[in-house]
Amino acid sequence: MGNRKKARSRLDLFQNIVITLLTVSAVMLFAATQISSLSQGSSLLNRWFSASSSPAAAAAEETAVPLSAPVRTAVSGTYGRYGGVTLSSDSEEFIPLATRLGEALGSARSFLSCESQDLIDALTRPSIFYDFWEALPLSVLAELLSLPDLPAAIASTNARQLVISASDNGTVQLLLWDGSNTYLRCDTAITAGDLEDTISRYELGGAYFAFDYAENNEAFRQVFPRSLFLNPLPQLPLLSVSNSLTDTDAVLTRLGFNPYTNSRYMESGGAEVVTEGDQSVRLLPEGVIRYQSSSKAGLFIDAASEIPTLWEAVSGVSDLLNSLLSGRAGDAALYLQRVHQTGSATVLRFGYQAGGVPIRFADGTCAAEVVLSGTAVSSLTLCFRQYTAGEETSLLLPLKQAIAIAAQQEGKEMFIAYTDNGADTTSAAWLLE
Amino acid sequence: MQSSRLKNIIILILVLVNLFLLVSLFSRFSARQEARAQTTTQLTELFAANGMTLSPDAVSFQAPPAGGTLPRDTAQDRQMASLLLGAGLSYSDQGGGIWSYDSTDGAAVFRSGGSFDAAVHVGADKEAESLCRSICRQFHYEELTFQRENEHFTASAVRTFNNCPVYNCTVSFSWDEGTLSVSGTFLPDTFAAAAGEDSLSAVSALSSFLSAQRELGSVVSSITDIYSCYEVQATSAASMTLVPAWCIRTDIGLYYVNCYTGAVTHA
Repeated sequence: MGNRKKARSRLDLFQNIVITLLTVSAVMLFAATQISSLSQGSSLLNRWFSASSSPAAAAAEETAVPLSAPVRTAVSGTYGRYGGVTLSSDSEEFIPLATRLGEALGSARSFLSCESQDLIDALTRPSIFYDFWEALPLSVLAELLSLPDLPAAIASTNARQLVISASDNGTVQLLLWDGSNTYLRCDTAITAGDLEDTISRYELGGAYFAFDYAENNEAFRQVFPRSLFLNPLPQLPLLSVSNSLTDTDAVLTRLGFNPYTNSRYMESGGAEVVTEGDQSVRLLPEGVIRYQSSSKAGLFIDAASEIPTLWEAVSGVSDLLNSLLSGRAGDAALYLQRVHQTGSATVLRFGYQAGGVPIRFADGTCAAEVVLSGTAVSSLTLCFRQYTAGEETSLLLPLKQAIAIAAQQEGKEMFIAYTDNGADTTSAAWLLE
Repeated sequence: MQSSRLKNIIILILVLVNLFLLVSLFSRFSARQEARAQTTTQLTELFAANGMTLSPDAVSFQAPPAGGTLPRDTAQDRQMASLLLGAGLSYSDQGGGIWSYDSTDGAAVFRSGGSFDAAVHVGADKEAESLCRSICRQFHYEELTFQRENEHFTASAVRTFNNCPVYNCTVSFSWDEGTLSVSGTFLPDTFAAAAGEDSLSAVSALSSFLSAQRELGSVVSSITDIYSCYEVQATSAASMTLVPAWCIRTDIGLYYVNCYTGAVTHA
């Protein structure tokens, strides 16, 4: 009897062990089959998940357009120049040049005054030229280009054109022009070898400045000396233009208004006016909105303190404008034209650019103007436009004819840009400024 | 007795379940192997139809390595400078991501994109050679090859990362008349992997390579190997980004296929 009990308990133990082992084995085999099917079907899962992402997330992705700056560049070596007039600060081709500019600005300590001729002399040596179209504070430029921190001493300096140039004594200098009458220069920690290394990456010979031919050609002598020309002329697409203010309710909602409010009426001129407390917005038929607020309960931008830094103002306002445009600018994007701060007031202006080429409005206005009072938006004007690049190429006047016309207005800068005069297409053309 | 019979039934069920799962796993495995063999055959036939011999052993089904960014680490720059320049090292931040290092034995400059230059006084060529090997060993540069000529030598090596070569990240040494010149790209070890980027498989990379060869008018006649590697790039978001790539070894040299864009470049 005792032996039978012992045998039964041994059998029981053996059965328990076998059951445990088989259960563990089954679980592991099941996990292995699931992992195997997951790894084969992972691309399907990814596609399913990405397709079912929420509309809010999709909308957030659509409106999160990082601000970039259009930039013209010229890389000059011993035997010629390379030119780029369709670059922007987020172009891949611009990255090596942005790196050198970051090194130059980061290692600049203090600027000394110089003359416009010094800038031209710098361009006759191995050099890199940058033209950001508008004079912007270096602190804002550094953020736009994702450059390392700037020395505080130079952060508030305005710059429109910058040149990194090898000097005769073997050092590399940075020279800048603020777009009006100020020329500055300083030494940098870049070596002549580093500069040559960057220059050697570009195929030289297709670009020149007006001053390169000024000695032998009267017409080139008349135009602004640092007007940049490419040979052959760039191939820029024709843009179709349309008013992209189609969903006014969505715009009103983004501005913090109730689109179903009773305080919404049409003026005799065709403008739609919506008021809410101390805020009002006018929606003009030509696709322009004008927002005003005199209260503290309105639109705000994020900032660390009551008065935003220049970059906080720029990034906050550009995010706001892009959320209003909601991806409806087509092949164009906003770029910063001007930022100015006095006390607690900050004024910002933006324009449109397509493929690194600015789009000017024929009436001289800008695409957007925003005034901040501290972090509150006290006024906002935005022109809704959609620009779409077509298959056709803009027909540019041959340079010879263009410069002959330009020479009649002495000292003006010649450049290629688009002009929006309200028509449904715009072509790149020579402009004078 | 009753419980014993119940347990026997449970054991039988578990055995059947295990057998079923084993067969299922085995059939998936063999189906995958068959699919891979079929893919290899079709690929070799496709290449043969375009006048190129693709070695079946060359077709890889490994996943490419993950890409990511390499945040600048000046402490690691300093370690490299210390090994190069020896004791008594002094350094200064020039701004713009440029750091300069000095000692009684020489000087070095390290930049934000990883590029660096150094010049070190090293009297004997054996000592210089030993320094080159130490640098390569400590900082993961491999395939160090020397070319000797009279009283001087040159050498070069390729940086590896996670056992994959970074094909455009090299270090070059030149020793002449007691001075060792070192230049190249230095990568920190810290790595922030990129979130969920779709990377090309080796098979897709071979297809991209074939398309590129068709467009350019191919002169390649045989492909002997394909292996994963990295390319270091500067982007607007980060000064050093590692992008996975496939290196295709052919009879006329190496080609690289970017795993994100499919772009093909010739070494």
